[in-house]
Amino acid sequence: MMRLESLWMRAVTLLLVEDDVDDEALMVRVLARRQPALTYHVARNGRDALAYLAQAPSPPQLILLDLQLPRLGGLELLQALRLEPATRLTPVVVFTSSTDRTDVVTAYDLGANSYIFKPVEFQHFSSVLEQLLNYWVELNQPLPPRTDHLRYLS
Amino acid sequence: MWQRLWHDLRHEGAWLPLLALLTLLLLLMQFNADGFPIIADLILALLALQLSVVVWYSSGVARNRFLVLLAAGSFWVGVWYLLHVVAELEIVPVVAAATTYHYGLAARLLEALMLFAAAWMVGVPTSPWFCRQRWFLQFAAATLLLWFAIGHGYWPFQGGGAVTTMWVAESLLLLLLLLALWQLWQRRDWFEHSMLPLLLLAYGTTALVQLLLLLLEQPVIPPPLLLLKVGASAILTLTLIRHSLVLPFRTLTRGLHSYDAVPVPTLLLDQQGVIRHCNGAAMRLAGATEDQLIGVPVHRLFHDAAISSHDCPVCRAITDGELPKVLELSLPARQQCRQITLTPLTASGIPGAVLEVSHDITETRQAQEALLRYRNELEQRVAERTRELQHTNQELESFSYSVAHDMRSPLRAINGFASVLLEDCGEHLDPIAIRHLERIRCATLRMNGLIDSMLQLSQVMQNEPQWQSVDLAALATETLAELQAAEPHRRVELALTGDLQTYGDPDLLRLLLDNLIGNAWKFTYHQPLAQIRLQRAAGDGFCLCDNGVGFDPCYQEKLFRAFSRLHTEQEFHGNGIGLATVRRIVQQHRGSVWAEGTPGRGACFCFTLDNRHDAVGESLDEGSHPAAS
Repeated sequence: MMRLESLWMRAVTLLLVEDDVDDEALMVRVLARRQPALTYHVARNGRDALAYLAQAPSPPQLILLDLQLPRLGGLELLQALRLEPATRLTPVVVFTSSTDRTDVVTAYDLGANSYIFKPVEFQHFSSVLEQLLNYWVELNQPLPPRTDHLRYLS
Repeated sequence: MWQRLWHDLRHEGAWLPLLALLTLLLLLMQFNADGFPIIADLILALLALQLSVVVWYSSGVARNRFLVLLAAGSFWVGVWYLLHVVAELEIVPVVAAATTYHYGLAARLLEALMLFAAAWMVGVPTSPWFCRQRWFLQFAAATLLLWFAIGHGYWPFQGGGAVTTMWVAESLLLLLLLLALWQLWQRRDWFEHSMLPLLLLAYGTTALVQLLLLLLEQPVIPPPLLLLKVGASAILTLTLIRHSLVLPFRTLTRGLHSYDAVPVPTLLLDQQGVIRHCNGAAMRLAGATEDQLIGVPVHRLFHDAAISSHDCPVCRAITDGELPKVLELSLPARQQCRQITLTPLTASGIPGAVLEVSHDITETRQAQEALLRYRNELEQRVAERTRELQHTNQELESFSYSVAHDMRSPLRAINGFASVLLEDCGEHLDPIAIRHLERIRCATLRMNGLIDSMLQLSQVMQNEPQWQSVDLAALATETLAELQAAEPHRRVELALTGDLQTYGDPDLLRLLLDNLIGNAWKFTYHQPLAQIRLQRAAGDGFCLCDNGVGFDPCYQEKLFRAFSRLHTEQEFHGNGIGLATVRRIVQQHRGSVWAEGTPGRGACFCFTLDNRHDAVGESLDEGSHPAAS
């Protein structure tokens, strides 16, 4: 398990936006067991996440986003990410307990790449997390480095 | 009869000009006795001519045989009196002064004839022969005959005023007048009660004058007798004018006077909008007397002097001929709103007359405005309450959302860390601790199911159904297939009978069948061959029956209450929310739901849906909900 401090200012593969320490601990456990090579950063709320992204040399390969966050909520954060040119195209997967239809629709409307329900049962939870990391980190072709894709888009 | 007559006469003031005339003559008689006979004869002539003209032109309604005869005859009587005056004045040579007495006699003779004929002819059966022109010509012929007789010596009373012939002539005249009086008495039933006494008075006075004249045996009528005669003539003339003009006119205008009793202000207007008649209510409203209102343009009643009749809607409606019309006039000066009804009157006698009836509708208008105000206030209040309710609903929604989210996180932690504990330290724990950890995990899963159901129930309550055509058979088959896939070892038969096509919200009906078939599936667990049957019930209901464990009918009421269960968790899984959700869905579809069952012999759950949508059909597929008819 990597220390958070050591990762500060370093580019990471995964940004976890999660306010619940228990959920975070469970997710980190799954990550450590199944994807030990993965680098990640945890933000407790939307503001922390934005602060981290503003300083990070390059955006992460994937952002895992909880919706119910203190201060800046998950959906507001998503909106801010999509407005920011650097993170406009970064894959964001909403990983939440909410099954509310409005949340699903709003999330997709704001540009979420995926919406995944966070299961209560731990076996199920870890298998879902494992599968989504497999897909988005292993299988999915990541976005080229920032300068490249900006040039391409312009 | 006399009292009534006296009252009428006094009320009409008809006696006043008569009295004045007689007083004048009396004074004249006192101061100039020589000229008096000429003046009296002139007045007699004028009275006769006036009577003739007035009665001649009186309305056909009032004219009767008596009046026709008097009208035709009195003209020529007047002519004879005029001739008498002319003869006395000696201003026309043809009329010799010597025949003065004879002219007077002829005049009185014709008068007596006329009075007799008029009284006599009253009772004679009607014939078209008796028209006024014919009578006029007959009297003219009589006049000519008399004229000829007097002028050419055929006059039987010739002789320069010899006492004998004079006496005979005057006696004949008296006889004629008495006969006339007698005839009048005979025919008294033909006359109006208020007319007969005056006629008797006039006839009687005339006869009395004649009698006195006979007794006095004078060639010239003495002034007092002349005065009496003028009085009799005047009474006759006034009586006939009263009966041929005043009374008929009063009868005609009685219709107008009947408006006086009406408590609603009513005016009779002519075609220029000038007031021609007003009733008491109108006078009270205007605060004016009849004299002040009659002849005034009607717009003066409603507006001040600054507004001309052109700007008055009432006057405009009358002059433009837009009748009948109902107008509303608001009068700020009087703080009133009046409804004015204008009705054209064709038979009122005034050309282009309009009846104007005015109602005070101030209170009605005020009530209407108040009602409108209250309605708006009510709508505002309803809108406010709706907003508040929506706000509360949103709060509730976000509350249940938060509850669901916030309850799931700790559950996930309990479940997760229990699992972690089992994974990491499983080999160090004794079997009892492991079992306890397993029970913790199972409890969290059960609670998770409970949260799911509660969220489902709250979502059913929040959403209005989207009406569409729904095939319950297809939904039931899908639900059963899912259950079968989860538990492939179970042997369950699903029978679908009857028309299972209906209208409703597909998602909600899916949830309803999920719950009902899920229950049936659950409670037929002990059956080697479970049988579930979805069928069309009598009317527009549907029933889902099974051969499961059934229930005691005395618990029927408890079945649909949230969190109430008839079985323990060990017997059958469940949280008691399923049937509450079912009932809520049926209520959303404005239907009803009930259950029938006996312990050990299965259960039947029946429900109806609002069938008004069937008739409207596919046009409702848009999801819009039509207003209840």
